[in-house]
Amino acid sequence: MKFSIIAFVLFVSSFSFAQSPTVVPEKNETRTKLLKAESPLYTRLYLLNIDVRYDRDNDQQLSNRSPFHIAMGFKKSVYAAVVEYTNFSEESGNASSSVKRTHQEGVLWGRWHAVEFKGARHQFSFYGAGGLGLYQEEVTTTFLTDEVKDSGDFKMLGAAAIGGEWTILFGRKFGLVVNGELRLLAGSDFEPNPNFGGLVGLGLQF
Amino acid sequence: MKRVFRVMILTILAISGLVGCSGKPESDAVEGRTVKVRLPWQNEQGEMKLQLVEISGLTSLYEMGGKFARFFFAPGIANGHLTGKGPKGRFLKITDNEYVPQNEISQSMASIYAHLERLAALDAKLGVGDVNAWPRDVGVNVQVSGESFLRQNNAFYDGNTDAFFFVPFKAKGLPIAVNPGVIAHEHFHSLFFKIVVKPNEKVLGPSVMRNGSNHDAAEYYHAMDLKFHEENEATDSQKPGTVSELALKFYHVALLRGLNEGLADFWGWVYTGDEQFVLHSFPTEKQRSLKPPSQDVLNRKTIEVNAQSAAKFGEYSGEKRIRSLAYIIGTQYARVFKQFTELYQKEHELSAREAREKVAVMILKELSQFGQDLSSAIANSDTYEPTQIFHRLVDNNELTKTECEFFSDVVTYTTGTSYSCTQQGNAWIIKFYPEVTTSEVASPAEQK
Repeated sequence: MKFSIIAFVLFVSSFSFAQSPTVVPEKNETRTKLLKAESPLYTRLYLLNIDVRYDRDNDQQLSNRSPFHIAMGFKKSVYAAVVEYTNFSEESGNASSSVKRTHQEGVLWGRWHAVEFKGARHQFSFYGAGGLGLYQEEVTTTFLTDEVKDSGDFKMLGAAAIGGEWTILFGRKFGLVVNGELRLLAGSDFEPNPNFGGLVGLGLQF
Repeated sequence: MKRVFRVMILTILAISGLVGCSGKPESDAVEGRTVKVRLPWQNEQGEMKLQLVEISGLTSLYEMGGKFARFFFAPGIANGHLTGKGPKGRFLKITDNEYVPQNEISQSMASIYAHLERLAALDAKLGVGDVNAWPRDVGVNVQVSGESFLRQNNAFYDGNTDAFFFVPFKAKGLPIAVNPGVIAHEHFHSLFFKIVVKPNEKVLGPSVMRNGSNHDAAEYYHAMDLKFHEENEATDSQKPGTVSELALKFYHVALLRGLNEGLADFWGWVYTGDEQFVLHSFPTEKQRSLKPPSQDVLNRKTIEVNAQSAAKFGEYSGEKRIRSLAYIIGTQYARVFKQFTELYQKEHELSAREAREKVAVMILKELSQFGQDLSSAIANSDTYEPTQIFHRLVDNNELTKTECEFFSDVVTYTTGTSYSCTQQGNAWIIKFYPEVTTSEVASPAEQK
């Protein structure tokens, strides 16, 4: 199931990037070449991420789910796209009766780096982002020796974020990317809806 | 550049739209429908298994409430009512009509609701459908301070707020909220309060007897820093009255609470047919099992001796000491009534459920009379005889000779006086009488 979500977001992502060259009109070919020369396409892998997600728990408190989070993305000029996969689970109950809820989601983010400060080795930017994705929830109910696993349908989610990014370049393209953002994610079963959270990511750029 | 910018703006607008349109989960839209929820539930064989259980009358699973219950999370109490926020239920929709609780509190609430729905139907069937007002108020995750037995692993009914309270369950056994017998037990306390305690409130007094149930409100109110009654350890020595007066009061408190607890346990069995339902949640409470047969209840002398002993500690401390006595009294009553029900089933060739319900009706009809008899005894500084309720049951129901003899044996074993059944007149109205008259044991009031 996890792979199906990842496959979906990668598919959507690759589709969106396949479309991007058509943005530039052919008649302005010289300018396009210039832009391409000035703005290479960066690939990014975000492997170390601290995702903070406040979701209502069994005690009715908003608690941080600390989801597992991996992401990859591309950046060109002031635009970037990131696909991410997230999951977390919550278990409540006791030895006789328990309920485990697992949430997983895939989101495709579009970012606009509105403000950029570029140096020879360091680049800083502030961005706004919007995202669309799919989520699915599973529940494993255990009672004495009984165990039943139920899965819900895939459902849409929407997301918005603002954040900042610091890139340390070690070559023309290769570098480390550190970003932090505040985010809202909305889905019909989210509680509260939208979920409020944040992300600190450490990635490689090449 | 401009085109990309436009695309982004449109994307953000679309997201905003999504956020705006997806305010409440699908589990909110259940009003007017009967839905199925996956819960631990008794099957036909009486075993607890995970099943899809029908629930009706819900207005929302998300706000969790409806025709039969409304829930309060960690509630407070103001002006005799529960106050506080309703918990948010989290349910996964698996088909158009089927939902799965996504956490323990949602499972607990759905289970309590479903059982209260069935208990409302049982009340109506047994002729007491108008005793309780629906929906019932239910406090879940009730937070109390004080001793550990108050903070965790318990449930109680409070007559003052007419509400059920479930404190967090942290033990290893079956959680109380999914234990049908315990929910029925608590539900019975609400019937007992309204049929026995409330109508006799003036005589029974505003303090320790008010709620009647042994594990009911008094201590919880103290733990919640709410004033239930003015007594405390400091006032033990300042109370007017003699030890013997207090002992007589404790005697009736123990009997009232004992019968309330015993009948509540019997109710748990009536509802589930499970004689061990208490043990599923509290495996160490083996003494509460209804399995062992019992042919007697605690006699007057035994209760008097214990009440006198407790009275020496004063009103507040003494009342705490008779708590365990009340459970012992209660279990004996519950076992006797269960045994009688099994006999009744055989005599009338009924199904087990039919027999349980028939005997439940007999008992419910006697409750009001029991309240009056007890009040009368208290008002006259007299002593209510523990076996009096059996006499009433025999007098007011057309029992067979075997059934009558069952009760005459119970009274004989309890009192030590030999009783037997006699047919009266042409009709098969059977009464039982003492064969040998023995001198009555002096009540504490008489002993001074």
